[in-house]
Amino acid sequence: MILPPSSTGQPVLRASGLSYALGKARRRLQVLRSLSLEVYPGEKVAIIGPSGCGKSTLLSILGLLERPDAGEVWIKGVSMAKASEEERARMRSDALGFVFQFHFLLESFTLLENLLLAMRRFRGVSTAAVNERACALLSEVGLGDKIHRRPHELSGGEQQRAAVARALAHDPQILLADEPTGNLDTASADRVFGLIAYLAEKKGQGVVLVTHNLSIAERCDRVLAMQDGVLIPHNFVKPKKRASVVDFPEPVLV
Amino acid sequence: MQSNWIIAWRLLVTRKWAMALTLLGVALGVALFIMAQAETQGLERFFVRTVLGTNGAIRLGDRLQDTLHSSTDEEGLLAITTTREGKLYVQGIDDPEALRSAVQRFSGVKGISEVLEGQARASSGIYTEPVTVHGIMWEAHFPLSSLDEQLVQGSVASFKEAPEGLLCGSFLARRLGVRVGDWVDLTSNAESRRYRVTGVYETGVEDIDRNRLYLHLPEARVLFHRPYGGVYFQITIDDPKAATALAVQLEDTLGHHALSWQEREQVWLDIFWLIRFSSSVLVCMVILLAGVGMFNSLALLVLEKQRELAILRAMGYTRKDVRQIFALQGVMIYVIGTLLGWALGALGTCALKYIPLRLRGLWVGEEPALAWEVDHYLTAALIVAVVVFFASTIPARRAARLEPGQVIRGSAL
Ligand SMILES: Nc1ncnc2c1ncn2[C@@H]1O[C@H](COP(=O)(O)OP(=O)(O)OP(=O)(O)O)[C@@H](O)[C@H]1O
Ligand SMILES: [Mg+2]
Repeated sequence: MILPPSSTGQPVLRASGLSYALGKARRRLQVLRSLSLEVYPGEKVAIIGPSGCGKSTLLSILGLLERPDAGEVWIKGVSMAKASEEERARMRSDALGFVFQFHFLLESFTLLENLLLAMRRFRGVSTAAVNERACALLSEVGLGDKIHRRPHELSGGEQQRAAVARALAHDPQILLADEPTGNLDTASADRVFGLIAYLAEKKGQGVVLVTHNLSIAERCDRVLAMQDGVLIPHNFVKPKKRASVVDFPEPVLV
Repeated sequence: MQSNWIIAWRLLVTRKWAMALTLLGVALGVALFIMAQAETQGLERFFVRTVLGTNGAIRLGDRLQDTLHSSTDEEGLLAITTTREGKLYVQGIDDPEALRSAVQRFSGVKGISEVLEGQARASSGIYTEPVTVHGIMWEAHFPLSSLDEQLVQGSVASFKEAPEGLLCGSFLARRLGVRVGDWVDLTSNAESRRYRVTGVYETGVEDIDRNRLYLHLPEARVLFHRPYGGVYFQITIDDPKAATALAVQLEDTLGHHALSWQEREQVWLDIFWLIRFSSSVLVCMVILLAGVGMFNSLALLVLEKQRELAILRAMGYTRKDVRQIFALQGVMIYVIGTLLGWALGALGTCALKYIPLRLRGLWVGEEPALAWEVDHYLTAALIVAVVVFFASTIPARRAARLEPGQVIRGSAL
């Protein structure tokens, strides 16, 4: 069912048989039904699917923020099923970078502080070195002159770029991005995605990217569509002319 | 850990006004507690000091009548016997010299003053007032009492020199319309005699200032026709707290009724306790209210910061970290609020000095007596600690229970 990866070796992220239901009793909704997924180092996987199909839910399970009802998640080959809350938290701060769907940054902190707070795993390292790394990363996403701004003093695109920098600040092996380009115009979306692609390539990170933007999905190594709680490979029928068309109306914009 | 402090502080200051109000509430509670304690305990201490200084710690009086013996004294005179609380008493002390040396052998006894007490009417010509006359030996009495310090008019020396001298309470002097040098007629059941006011004292305890006159003991004996015996001992001791125990000992050993100041002033002490208790309850309500306010702001903060908490969790912060962040906010409010409260309390206590306190029938001073006690500050801090603990623990636990997954989805609204 899953396309064989182009890269070799162990998957950096593996999920198998994930099932997850939300809500109680009659409003119970089976969001995931025995879903499986493998992501290899340096691979960019796009996940598409209609609104409400459970993409964010999948990311929060892959990101160890929720435990599945059934199934297992391996991060760097380590099973997380029986890991304690502490161990999962340590794994999040070490190996996982998260870009949220709608809000990206800690509002009470400056950009630089947002990055520094995400860099817990560098506790032993000197403050100066950590600072320098954070500043370098912010410069790389084009925000070098705005490191002391609060998120609300930035445009949406800038915030999303900062969120990408924050998600990568601690040098994770896996980046989980939930519509990092949503609500952005084409140029800005391209820029944010270009950034993710560039940084992931540079570090060999595995990327799982949820998006509604097909032109962006196309630029990933693999595209998976979420349907009835499972992921199926998506093949583009149309030529690239219609690439940037969204396959259904964006509910947020209505 | 260090970053938790920073996060706690930042989240706290995002709601500046709510937190400022919370801090103010805590500080005000602490300050009011300190002020209430300073005032009430100050008053109580003043009262105790005054009654100890004026009436002594133990009053040793009537001899307990041994029912197996005859009710006549050694000289064959029939003694006056009365029944009190089911016991037979012979009124007063009949052999002061023997008893004095016996009492002096008890450890802790500082001094003994013989007092002959009696009721009389005092008249200044225009006004007449009922009074309690205390006949004293000044050589024994003055060193034990604060009477000399309490004189507002006249002098001790002029009382010592004048056999017909009289010391009058300030309140009584006002009611009689007399001052130092004026003459006052005292009328007992037996006799009417004329005395000169040589001093006016003010203890501050209205009960005493309104009723009491001091005469020389020989003069009092003449006035009441009690040429010997009939006195009681006013005993001062080193440790006033031990008075009750010593009184029991004295009574058991010497066979004379002994009354400690605690028993004697029971009513007033109970009233003071009640005042302190009720003011404490009132102030604790203020602290509790501040706690409710604090709980409110923190609970709102948790709701408001759900997204940021979810981001923190995604960045690898544990439930424990989140709980700690909110607990630390409690600690911050506690420390700042308490320090502020201490400062306010100290300032407020100073300010209380300028607010005259008048309690009818109890206190007549202009400047209230205030107690400065580290204990008050520590107790206030302790009470606030308990309140703050509960006010911050519940929101902290609520914050820790937050499911970041829920926030990630729920925010899609
Ligand atoms: N507490 C809940 N109880 C029951 N159902 C819920 C609950 N929270 C979310 N859902 C449902 O779970 C489904 C999956 O939500 P999720 O946010 O994962 O979808 P999504 O694919 O990310 O959608 P979008 O593209 O709009 O972001 C939705 O249909 C939603 O209505
Ligand atoms: Mg979503």
